[in-house]
Amino acid sequence: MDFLEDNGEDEVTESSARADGIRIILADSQAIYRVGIRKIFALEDDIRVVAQADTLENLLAAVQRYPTDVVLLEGGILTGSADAIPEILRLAPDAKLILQATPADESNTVELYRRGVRGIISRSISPDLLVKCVRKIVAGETWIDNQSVNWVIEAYRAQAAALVSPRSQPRLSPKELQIITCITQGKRNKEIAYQLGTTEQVIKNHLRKIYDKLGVSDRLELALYCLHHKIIHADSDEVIMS
Amino acid sequence: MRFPLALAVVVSTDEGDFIANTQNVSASGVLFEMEHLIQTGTHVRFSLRMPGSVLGMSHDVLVQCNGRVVRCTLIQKKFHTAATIDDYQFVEQ
Repeated sequence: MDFLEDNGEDEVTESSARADGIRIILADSQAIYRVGIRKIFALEDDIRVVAQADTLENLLAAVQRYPTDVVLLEGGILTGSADAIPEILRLAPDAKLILQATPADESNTVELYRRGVRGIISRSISPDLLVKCVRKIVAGETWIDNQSVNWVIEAYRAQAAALVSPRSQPRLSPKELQIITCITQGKRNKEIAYQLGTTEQVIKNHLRKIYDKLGVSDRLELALYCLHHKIIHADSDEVIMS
Repeated sequence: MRFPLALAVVVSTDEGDFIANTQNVSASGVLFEMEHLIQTGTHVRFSLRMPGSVLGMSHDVLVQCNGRVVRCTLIQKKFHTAATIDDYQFVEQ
């Protein structure tokens, strides 16, 4: 077996691939965590780290290049990238995501599971528990604590109620409706920012709020939501073009 | 999130084009009802037409989708065909 070399500046490093066992890609901005976690998995015969990445960009490259069963990623890598999780899953639909993060609030936790994360674990998780978590998730289970289970169930109930009751649809601001209309026209964030006279980052922030309000996770789902709920009115176009 | 949208589509495969209606659509997959059997694993292309009137525009928007069939079941003389949506692109009309 080849061992990974951790040079502290690695973009994407790899070990030789084998057909058996659980394949893992580690994505963590801190080399010390990658080294430590790799050593934990090195003790397990059935778990192999096939690649490492220290940024989201490198992770996206890694999942395309190396087939993997699990992506173990640091929550900080996702900061500022609302579409990161759907994008990872689009590129690697069979991969299961485990997020290492500090204890999150309710909306953040629910959103992570909604977007496709299979497990959220603490940065201070014990080695034994980490290995157990990986095996459980590869077996098709979800790793979720009791508090998060309650949050997810409550969110599911709220979403189900919203779907059957148009009156309880989330309230969207005029700016959010403008952005939604642009999205459904297929415009990119940069184009929307230019059209609305703001920055791409502001658009991303609005988009994240829209996704959170509507419970959608990407542009197609947003468009389908609009189609189903008819939340955009004909005069929205006039507002945008002004 | 799965939406119960009934949209008329043409499903294109290497073996031909087939008329279908969507039963429900999500961001990652779609369920068609159609007359023809499409084998599991077949790559499919189809476009979802989103009426401009609903999206606040003067023209319709097409979402061109690529995916593959994961299930095809005969129910009451119609094939219920489930397909993934692996990638998509918005196209203005």
